[in-house]
This record gives sequence, C-alpha cells and structure tokens, in this order.
Amino acid sequence: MSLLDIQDLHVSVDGKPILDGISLRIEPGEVHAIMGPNGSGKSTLSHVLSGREGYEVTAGQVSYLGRNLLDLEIEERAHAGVFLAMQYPVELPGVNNTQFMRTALNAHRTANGEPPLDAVAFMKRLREQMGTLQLDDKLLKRDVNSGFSGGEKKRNEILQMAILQPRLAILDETDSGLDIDALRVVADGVNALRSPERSMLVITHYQRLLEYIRPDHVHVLAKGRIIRSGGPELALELEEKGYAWLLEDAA
Amino acid sequence: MKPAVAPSDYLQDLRSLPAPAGDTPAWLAAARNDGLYLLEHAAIPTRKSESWRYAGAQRLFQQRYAATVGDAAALRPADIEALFCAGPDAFRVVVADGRLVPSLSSLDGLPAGVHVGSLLASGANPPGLTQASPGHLVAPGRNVFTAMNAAGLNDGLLLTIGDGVVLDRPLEVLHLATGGTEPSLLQPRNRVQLGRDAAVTLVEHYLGDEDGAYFCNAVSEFDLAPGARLTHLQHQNQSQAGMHLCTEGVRLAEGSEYIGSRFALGGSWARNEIDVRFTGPDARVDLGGLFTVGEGQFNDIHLDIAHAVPGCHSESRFKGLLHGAGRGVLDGRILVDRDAQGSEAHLHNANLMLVRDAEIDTRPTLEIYADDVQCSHGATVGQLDPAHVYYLRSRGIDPATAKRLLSLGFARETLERCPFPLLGERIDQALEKRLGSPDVQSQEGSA
Repeated sequence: MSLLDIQDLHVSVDGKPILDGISLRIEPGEVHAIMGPNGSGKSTLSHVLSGREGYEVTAGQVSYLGRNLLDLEIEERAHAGVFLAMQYPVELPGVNNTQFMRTALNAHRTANGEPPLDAVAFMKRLREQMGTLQLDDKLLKRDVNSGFSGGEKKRNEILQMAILQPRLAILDETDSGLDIDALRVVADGVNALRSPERSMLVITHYQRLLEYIRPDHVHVLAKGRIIRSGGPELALELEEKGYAWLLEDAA
Repeated sequence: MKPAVAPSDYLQDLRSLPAPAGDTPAWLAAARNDGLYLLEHAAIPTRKSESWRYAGAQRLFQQRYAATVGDAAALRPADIEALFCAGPDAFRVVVADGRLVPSLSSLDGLPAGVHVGSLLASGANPPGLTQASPGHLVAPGRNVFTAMNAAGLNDGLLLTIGDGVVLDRPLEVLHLATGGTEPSLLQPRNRVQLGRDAAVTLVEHYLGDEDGAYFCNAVSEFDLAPGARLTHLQHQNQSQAGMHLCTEGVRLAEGSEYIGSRFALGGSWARNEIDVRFTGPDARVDLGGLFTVGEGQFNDIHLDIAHAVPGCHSESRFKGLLHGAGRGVLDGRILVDRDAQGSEAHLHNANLMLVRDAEIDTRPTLEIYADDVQCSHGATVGQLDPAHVYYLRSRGIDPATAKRLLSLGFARETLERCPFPLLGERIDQALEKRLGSPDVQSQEGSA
C-alpha cells in the first residue's frame, strides 16, 4: 500500500482553481521534492493535505495509508501521522512552547491509545530531540515562536516533527529565510528523521535545500499541475536552466 | 430595570450596625453621620449619568443586602492559609466582611515607621476620614455607594509608611466575604498612605464563599507623597452570585510612582472605578490587567485619569476576555489640563470575544487642553485568529483545547505584571476553570 496516493486532485480557493489535477504517489521511506515557481500551487498542496479550511476540493481524491485523507479533520490527520512544517509558523503569545509540544504529543498518544507522558518523561524526550537542532534552551520557556528569529522558527518546526514522529512529513519552503548555516542545521535535523517508515514531501522554490536533503523523486509544479517528474538530476537541471523552458514545453 | 430597594431602605440597618468593641471614637460617629445624611439624599445613578452609562447601578438595588458585621469565627485558619500567595515573607492581614481580624493576621516584624492596622486604632484624626484631616480621595458624597460605605463605617484598614521607609516584604490583604444565611452587605474601607520616598508592594484579594450572595462595596484610597512608590496588585474573584464594587482613588505627588494591576475575574456584577490624580510633576502611573466576562456576568473597568500638572506619565493597558454571554465595559477617560504640558498618557484596551452573544463596550477617551503632550488611546475587539487555531490543530490538538490554549494565552500575557508566581498560578487556575473542562495535561503546566 502506498503511504500517500493523490489522484487527479483539483482544489479551488475562493472559487478560483489553484490545483488543476495533481496525481502523486509516495511510498514509505521515499523523499519527494516538489519544486515550482511562485504561485504554482505548492503551498496550496501542503495545506490541503494538512486540512486547512478554505481550500475546496472540487475533484479527485487523496488516500493515506488506505484511508480517505480528505474525510479526516485537521487533528485526525495529525494523529494519523501527517505533519506539516509550515512556511510561516505563527507566533502564539501566552502559549508556552514546552507546554504546547507536550499537549500536542499527548493528544497524539491519547488518540493512538497510549498513556500521556508526564512532564518529566516529556522533558527527557524533548532533550533527546533537541541535541542536533542547536535550539537554545530558553526558547522552550518562551511562548510558541514569539520573538523567535526566522531560523529559530524553522528549527522549532523540525523539533515538533521530531517529537511527533510523523509518517508523512510535509516541509513547506522550510528553506525560505534561512542562511546557509541555519539551512544545514535544519537539514541535519530532517535527515536524522529519515527512515524506511517515514516519507517526506519537500516543497521548495530552490534547489539549494535539495543539496542537503537528497530527494528520491523531483516533481515540477506549475499552474496547478505537475508538468515534469524525474530523479534528483531534475533539480540540478532546474537550477541551471530555471523554470522557463519547462513552462514553454508545457504550454 | 426598576430598583426594588431604595438607598434609604439601608438607613435603619446601617444606623444600628453594632459598634466595634471599645469606645467609639468621636470622628467615627461623625463620619458615619455624614454618610447617613448623604445616603438619605442619594439617588441611584441611572444610565443618564455619564459615568454609569454602561453599568446600570439598578442591578445593585434588586434586593436588600443585610448590613452585618459577619462572623469571623466561621473562618478556619487552615482555609485562610491556602489563600495567601505572596510568599512566606509577606505581612498578612485578614479582613472579614470589612472588619479586621487580628487573630488571623500576622504583622510581626513590621519596621519602625510602618503602621498596619485598624482605622479605629489610628488615633483622633485619621487621614481622609474627618473634616480636619487631609482630604478624601474618594469623597463620601461621590455617589450612593460611597455614601453607603461611609454610613456603615465601623472598621477599615489603615496602612501608613513613614518617610523614607522601604518595606522590603510585601503586604498581603485578604478581603473575605464570610457568607451568611442571608445576602449580606460588606463594606471594606482602605486607606494607604505612603510618606516621602516610601515604598511598598501591596497585594489585595477580594474573595468570597463560592455560594455566597453578597454585595461588597469597597472604598480604597492611595495617597503617595513625593518620591513614594506603590506596587499594588488586586485579585478579585468574588462568588458567582456576588456583587462587587471597588471605588478607588489614587493621588500622586511629585516624582511618585503607582504601579497598579487589576485581575478582575469574579462576581455576577463587578466594577472597578479608579480615579487617578496627579498633584505634582514627574509622577508616573502604570495601570493594567485583565477583566473576564462569563455567562451572565457583568464586569466593568472605569478609569478617570486627570493630568493637572506638567510632566506626568500615565500608561493604562487592560485586556478583556469575554468567554460567555455576558457584558464587559472599559470606560476610560484621560484628561490633560491646560497646565499639564509635557504629559504623556496612553490608554489601550484589547478584547477577545469567544462567543457571539457577548457584549463589550469599550470607550477610551482623551480630553486634551495642553499643546505639548504625547497621548494615545485605542481599543480592539477581536476573535481568535483562525490561523492560530489551524496551527494547533495541525499538531493534533482538538479545536476546543486549541481555543482554550489560545484564550488562556491572551489572558496570561497580563500575568507578566505579577511578580508572585503563586498568585500567577492562582489566577491561571481560575481562568482555566472559567474556560471550562481543562485537560489535565495542560493544567500540569510546563517544566
């Protein structure tokens, strides 16, 4: 069974078609990259998989581990192992970062029939995951993302991913706004989570991130359609030639 | 709403309040007589009165509250102990139904120059209470409630800090409604007097028995001499059926500073009425906090800040959390007089409405007659940001918990004003309880 099977997905936002028939199959352990110019529908794809409101699926289906993903509530998708590392993680004033992560983990555990972790056990788990991400301890005591730098926000996303151990991780432009050092740290964090069980969908505008997170497959999204798929070499080709030649080809 | 009880219906009760033990000082009898006279002639303010436009005082005259002095003996020391939260260092005072309870208070080690005790023990001429003493900061003739407070005066709390004395331990005061068999009227009276360059931190709690029906009609005055500094935290969590009115006056002399926080959570009907008067230049007021409104609850913050002298600074920031079908009010007026050049005054109110059928009236107003000032005012009324709810749900947190976390977050920001962690926790727990069905995980807090 595929982990994720998207068939002919059409999505509109405010009545305007954004995704125009996407089909994509991801097997367990695979890393797929989706590249494309701005406005091609990359972020729409990530949000529709995560379940955000305001995205209307007008046709097509998405099967996740044999279940109809589109039937599930946002939090049910999370419990089932879907995780979206957001392009713009929001700041949540007054919501403590550690408490937030423990509430999230325990919501997963409860949904999956496991007992919740107490504060001590959770802190132990948190410390284990913190190491590679070089995240300052004080960020745990702060409010979620409040006053975090761009890089800290992205690392905080990866920390949540490490805590929640998803089956399908969607990284939405995780490289945006990162300098090269921060990018390396984030990529190390992501690579540490690669496993034969876990699949990833890496959405990016630039090839740069893919130097650090090596994809198995690369897809080019333009005007709401996947216009080209290939191996990692496709990303290099795009880096060299840009998107224009493909867009012409597709037209 | 037509009142069922008239102010004059209280005259007999208040006149016949049992006198405090010992000799009744002459000034007390005089102050009460003044109050009785004022009460006899007072009218219940209607919505036509500008300062009661949103509040409707008739609510407080729907039933008669028995003017009694309560029964402090009903209070169990162990129960009381659990209510304190300003740390073991704090000097403690318990005021039950408006009357000081020395046996439950602990004031050992008060330094020279500091007096904490009953108004009755304050000598022949207590400040603000007789014609011969320095003036009232809350005049008995202000309205029917201040008149009623004066008419029923038979004890109160007097705190005086002498010139140059810095009290390094906080003073914590519990104002308790002991609850009786019938709805009762309790009328705390507080006078806080800080000498030149004196400083103290005062923590006040207004609490009542959960099932109690009562009307707490408090009057407090805070008088700051030049260079004095008062940090004042007030935590109000009256009973669900409780009525609470706290009329407060703050007077600031040159270079003094008042840092006041209000956490107004409880009561069926509650109002803080705060007057701030600057009498000398370069004084500073930092006022702020939180008011919450649940089902059927009315909660009102009423501010009147007058800059009459040059170079003073006032900053007021209140948050309103409306989590039930009730009504909140922030009615604040800042007046900057012609002579108050170089004033800085800001008033801001942010409200979060979690339910459609709640109501908020927010009116921050500025009246400026000076030309060299820095002033701002503003109010916001909003709902939870769907992007925030989505973020939490995408992490597996169900919508109800997500909304609760975010609402608590909104309110918790005001706890930055609170230097006592235990008080912060107490308020936090009260908020969690109000927002309903707290899940155990988030209540345990973080490491």
